[in-house]
Amino acid sequence: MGTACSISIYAESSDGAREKCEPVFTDVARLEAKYSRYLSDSFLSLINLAAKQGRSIEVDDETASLLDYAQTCHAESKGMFDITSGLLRRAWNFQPEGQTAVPDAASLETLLERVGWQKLDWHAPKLAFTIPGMELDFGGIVKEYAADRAATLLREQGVAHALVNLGGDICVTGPQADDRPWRVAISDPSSPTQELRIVEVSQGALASSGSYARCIEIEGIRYGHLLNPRTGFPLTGTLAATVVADQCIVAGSLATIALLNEAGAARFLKDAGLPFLLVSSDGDIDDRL
Amino acid sequence: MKSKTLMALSASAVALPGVLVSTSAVSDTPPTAKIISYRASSYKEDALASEALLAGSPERYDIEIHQLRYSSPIGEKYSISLDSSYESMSGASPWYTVKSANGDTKVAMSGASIYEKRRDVTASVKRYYDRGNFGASFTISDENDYRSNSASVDGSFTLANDSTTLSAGIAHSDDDINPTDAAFFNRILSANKSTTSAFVSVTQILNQFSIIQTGVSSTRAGGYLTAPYKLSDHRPEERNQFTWTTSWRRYFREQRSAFHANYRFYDDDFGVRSHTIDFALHKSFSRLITLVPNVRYYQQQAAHFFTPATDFARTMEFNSSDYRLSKYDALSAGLKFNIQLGDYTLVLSGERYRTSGSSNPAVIDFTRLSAGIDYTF
Amino acid sequence: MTACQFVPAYQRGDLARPEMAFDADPLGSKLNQHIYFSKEASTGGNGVAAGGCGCN
Repeated sequence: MGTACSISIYAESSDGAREKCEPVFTDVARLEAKYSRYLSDSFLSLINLAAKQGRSIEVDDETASLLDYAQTCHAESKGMFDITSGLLRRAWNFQPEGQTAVPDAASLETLLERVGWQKLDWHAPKLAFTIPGMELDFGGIVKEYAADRAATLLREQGVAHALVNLGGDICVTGPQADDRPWRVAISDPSSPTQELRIVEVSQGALASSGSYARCIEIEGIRYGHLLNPRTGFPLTGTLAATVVADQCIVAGSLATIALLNEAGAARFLKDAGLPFLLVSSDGDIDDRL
Repeated sequence: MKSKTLMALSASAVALPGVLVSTSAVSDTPPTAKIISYRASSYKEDALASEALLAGSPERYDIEIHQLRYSSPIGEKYSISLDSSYESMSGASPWYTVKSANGDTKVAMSGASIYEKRRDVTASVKRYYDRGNFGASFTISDENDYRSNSASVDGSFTLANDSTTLSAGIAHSDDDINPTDAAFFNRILSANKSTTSAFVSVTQILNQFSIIQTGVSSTRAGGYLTAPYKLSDHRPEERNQFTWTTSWRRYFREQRSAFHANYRFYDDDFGVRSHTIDFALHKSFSRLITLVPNVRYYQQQAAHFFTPATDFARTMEFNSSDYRLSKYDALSAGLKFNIQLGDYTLVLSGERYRTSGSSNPAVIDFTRLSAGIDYTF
Repeated sequence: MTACQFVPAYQRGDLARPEMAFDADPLGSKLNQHIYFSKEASTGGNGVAAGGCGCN
């Protein structure tokens, strides 16, 4: 997944615990192999080959459900959440520090022509690419999906006190063994080793959106790594969002869509009615956890 | 109350394989959405066979029904619903029955088409607690010769095992009957009927796909129970009724189908004993379309005082030749189709009901068609 | 039918489907009950009665 994964679990024995975590590690590895952009034999790469050639491809039930989920996110974000927008990253050079060059209008235009969920023809089980050169990226949803599945796999084995942490995307099966909640630290986006806040979680999931490591700096101003799928430019207004929900994938998507709403992030999350924390680009913190 | 965005994302999320609804313990909560529903139905009875017609019009009832329903959660602990319906009926109905010289049974129908309207309104409220709920409901039904007011209360409680739920309720109805043309036809001018009923039931989760419910009810009706428009119809002033109903629901994941089975045993002191069994299969095609084929079989015994020919001479204390109290069975089959378009669901359904085995040729066959729409917001 | 198994909350997704409800179509049930009440001699078996009408 490109990030560290860990499981905190209470079990009767350490062997018992390890045994129960096995199916989780297997499933996470499976999802990585299936949806990794970096592995040329992943199913996602097969999809992107069809995309490049403007063909169509038949997908399995799991991929179909993920595509449906991506479609729902697209609809609920007024088209801003778009899994076809990964292509735009080619125009930008993400640097951990230092200036980024602003891409020229022509190269952005060429890329934008090949971006847009509405340009796909998706009718389960067939995914058709009407124009060649597009690219799908499940990066925004697979990690959280894996966290939810991990929690299910643990619960099905009777584990009532476990916390799954996939690079900051967290899902719990219940509180700690003594019924105390888990304590999750949310870090400061501008200095990741600093703790902003501790959240207590006894059920459900928590996920964050907003880059701490990869960001764009233009003329001294820092932007996150999320790009506007319509303009190709990075978004302003909110740097990071953390949301608590029943499912990790829902928490993660709401956090991402909040950032895509730029200055409207707080309004969007307030309407959703869930606990959240927002860090705006001028350092303001809106803490409603 | 959940936001629309949250509801949309949550629904899509739990459709993903391996992603579950919630970690929280089972608790009773109000529904999350507001729904407005409308249905228009057309009910048409088959005409009486010409060889069975003694006099009057063979055309049976033609009824148009409009139903409107609004339901909504109120805060975190309450929900309400308002139902109303409007019916307009025309057609003739059986007046009396005779046995002709050669032993055939013939029915005299009422003459000119009766054109009637009926309206009803129901208001219900429900209060939700951690382990159960409590509700109350009021209904008024009004037509030119009949007015009914009724009220009921009911409650539900889930045991500590989180798998068994007990429910119970009572209802009372007070009806006023004022038959039309009463003086002219020597009918009762005005009468009253009062009904009280109670039920208890148990619902049990069997496994993650299967749930069963069984319950009994007891009803006592008192007052004027006779059919005022039937000639020489005299019924007791009290009727005690008993039912035992069992229902089963089973989900089949591979087939994306929910199977429904219901059985009801009915018995009363008029002598009518009946069995009703029905099945339905709710099958989902894609996420938006559901088809529900269904079938129902009903069988009843005749009331003690039922006679195939009307007892004009009043030889019996109680008598009726109303086909609805005769022995017969009925088989009906129907199909319902639902399609979801955004926040709207379109519903179309039809049913064909056929009777057989009755000594009274007036027993009904009918066809019903309905179309409607649900709006969730 | 096997004995009742305890089903934890997180596995009740299928039982919670709207098509699995005992009354999956309130308006449809109300209409059916009204029609069968006026044409047959039996009533009830559906929780509490919602009032009468002149049709029987």
